[in-house]
Amino acid sequence: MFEVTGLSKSFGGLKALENLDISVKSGEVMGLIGPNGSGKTTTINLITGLLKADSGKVQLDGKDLTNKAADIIAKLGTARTFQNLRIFSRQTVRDNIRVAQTTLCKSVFSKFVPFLTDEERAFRSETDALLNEFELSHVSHKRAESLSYGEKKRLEMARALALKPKILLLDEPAAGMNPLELDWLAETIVGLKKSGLAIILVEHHMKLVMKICDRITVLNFGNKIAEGNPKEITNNKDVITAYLGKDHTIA
Amino acid sequence: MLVLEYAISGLLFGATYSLVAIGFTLIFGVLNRFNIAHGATLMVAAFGGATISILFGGKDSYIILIAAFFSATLIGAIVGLIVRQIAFAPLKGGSELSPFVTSAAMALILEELFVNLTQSVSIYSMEVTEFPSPLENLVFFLGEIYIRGAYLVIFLMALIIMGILHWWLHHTKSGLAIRCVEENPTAAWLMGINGNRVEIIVFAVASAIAGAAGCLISVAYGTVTPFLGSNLLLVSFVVLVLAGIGSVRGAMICGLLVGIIETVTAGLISAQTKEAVLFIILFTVLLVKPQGIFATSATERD
Amino acid sequence: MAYYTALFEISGLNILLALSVFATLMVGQFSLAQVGFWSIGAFVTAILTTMHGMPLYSALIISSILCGFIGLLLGYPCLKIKGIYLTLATVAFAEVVRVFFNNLNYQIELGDRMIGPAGALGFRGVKVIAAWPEIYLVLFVIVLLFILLASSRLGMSINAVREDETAAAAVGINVTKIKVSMFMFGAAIAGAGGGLYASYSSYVLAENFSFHMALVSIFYVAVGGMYTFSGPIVGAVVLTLLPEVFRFAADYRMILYGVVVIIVVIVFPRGIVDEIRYRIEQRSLRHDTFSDNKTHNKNKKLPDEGIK
Repeated sequence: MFEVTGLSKSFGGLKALENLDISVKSGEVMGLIGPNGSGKTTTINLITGLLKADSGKVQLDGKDLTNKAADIIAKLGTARTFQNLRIFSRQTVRDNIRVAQTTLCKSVFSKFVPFLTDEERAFRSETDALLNEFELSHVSHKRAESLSYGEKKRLEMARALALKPKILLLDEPAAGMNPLELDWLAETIVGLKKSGLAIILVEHHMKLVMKICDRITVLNFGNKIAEGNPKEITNNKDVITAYLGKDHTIA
Repeated sequence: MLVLEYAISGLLFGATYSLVAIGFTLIFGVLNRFNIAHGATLMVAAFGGATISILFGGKDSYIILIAAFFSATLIGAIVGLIVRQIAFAPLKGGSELSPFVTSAAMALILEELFVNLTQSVSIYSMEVTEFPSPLENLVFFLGEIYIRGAYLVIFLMALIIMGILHWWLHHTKSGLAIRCVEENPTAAWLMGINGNRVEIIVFAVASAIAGAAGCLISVAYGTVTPFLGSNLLLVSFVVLVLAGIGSVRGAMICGLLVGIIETVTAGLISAQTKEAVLFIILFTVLLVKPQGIFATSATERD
Repeated sequence: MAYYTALFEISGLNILLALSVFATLMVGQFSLAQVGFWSIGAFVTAILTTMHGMPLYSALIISSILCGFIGLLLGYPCLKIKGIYLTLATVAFAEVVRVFFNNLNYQIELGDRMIGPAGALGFRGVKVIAAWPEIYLVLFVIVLLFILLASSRLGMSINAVREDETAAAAVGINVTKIKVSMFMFGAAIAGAGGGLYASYSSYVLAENFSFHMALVSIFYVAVGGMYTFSGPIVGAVVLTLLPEVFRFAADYRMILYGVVVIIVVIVFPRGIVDEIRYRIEQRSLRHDTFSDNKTHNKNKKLPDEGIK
């Protein structure tokens, strides 16, 4: 159970986010949408520790994540992807995943000494499984920078999942994807949700959002203006006004 | 009283530090790279000025002195452009380390070149080469305070140069172009500003200023050595950190400040301590306010 | 023969210096402080062996640990300082160290003479107890550590930190711990190297450990290779031998040295070792049936963009 209460952040005089409340259950996909500049990425950055919140609380399964260091938040079960793709370009695809796995390493030995302990063997099969699931097995030995855009996006998701998180935050994963890739993305997210993961999806691609989200939170100018299931949101006057201006109806 | 004397002389001399720092910061602002050869450029120009003075009997002639000054400025610009061509131009878009290394290597080459020159050419001397000028023995007295004429002249010259620079940057089109490129090179390019040309202009101007500073400093000291550049470079680092890299105004003011601190410390305690004091200040500022006292938005790009 | 031995020994010392700089570069920190630690290591070891009769390895261990500790004190606050400012802070550190040792006067009477650091005159008469066996033994140990680092998970985390600190933190890496640790590691290596240097050359002069030497230490890495530890080794060896190769040019050999450095850095931007590796990799990518030629547009420049 993931809960955000009263989260606020200002940059100088600009209120980027004001008093945001969101809660997401495991196995639920919460969409986070809103016009550009509404505070979506700020929210993600606050939750994952890249920004310090002015006030508010972030809790995962009772554990307080508020304003902790980014790596501790990751260790406590939060994983994310980035809007601008932050894979480790110079490392191989396989190593990108392994780096994330290292966080889960229980034996100190494993970290320093490259021998095949049992833990290493387990990690190896997990890495293979992830590579398979994200269709990256055929490029696992290549440097990440040589991948296609779509492959890089898949790599970032795979890497996030290597952390075995309780909640996954996806920052505009559909950007730049063609229809086939979009179908794959939808399928994958639904599959992840079914396996018990809580997911927050920041997106602009409305069709995708409406199709796979259980609930949706809508932001505008840093405030939450609506929350509900896809049908409710589609018909919500405030949401329509925010996106399209007054006096519009959705045909 | 003695402190005041030190402070004044430090203030006057500090203007030269300002000039060196300004040149360095201009290049950094436009290229986002350090030019380690900036000091060496200064040194070469200073030697150029000294040579003119020596060859044409500058000891008694203000005209020769002025000629030397302008030659130094010109030589500075030329050397700066050469440095840019060899150490910076071939390395566009690489890592930050590479231009650091190539400019450091250029500095090494220039230093070695002049070490050799001072050994082999007769008008120079191996230890110290004199820069004869009619200012050598000029002194003023402000009440009881002793002020060296040379220092006063350099201070005024430096102020004039800074004034011209300020006018150029803020009241001409090319100056505007430079400020645009400093802030956002891509946007500037999109607006039709030729980044390459701006770079060349900035390098030339910054190195010319360095050349001018080199001449002024050597006239003040009375001598030139091949290691003039690297010593000054280190001091200008202190100025830059205090000011915030990228701030021309800051470099102006902090140069004077560093001059005062340096001279007062050297006078009151010892010459050795002054170096330590300066670097401890640098370190402290970096810890407390790393962007510098006059930080501008141009400081953290990339 | 003695000439070649001396070259061998000096190469070894330079490799240690290069590796100490590389250690901090591994986390993306471009540090010129190692010269300062080299200096501390040299003086501390010299004092311990010559004035207090300590054996070499004990003195070296104490020097490295001391330097590591000072590295911790220096590295932790330096975390807040980014990029080029960090480099300046390290320069400041090395300069303060230089001035400190230039003024250090600590002498005791041994036999019939006064022995010890004598301010600006330096420390003459350091016990010469290190030659190529000792130098290369220490080097061997340190290279082993680098090999371990390169092939372990810790090494991957270090590479991740170097590439993208934000992403590294997002996957649970404690960026602070790794950066400070590598800084300490670099300091410790320099401490040991300085100690060996002192015990080899018998004369320690703080003035030698200058900004100039710091620049040369960077040359080793920039010329040899910036991404794998074999790079600095190659760079140090090449740049140690280069002035010897240019002996025929007498007074102009350092100028040739500088020219070679510039040419190498332009032709091999990643350093010799890593540039060659990179080109080989690129070539094999092109022959790969799965490759779609995505790599070569990275370096395309827009017309007259110039600035980067």
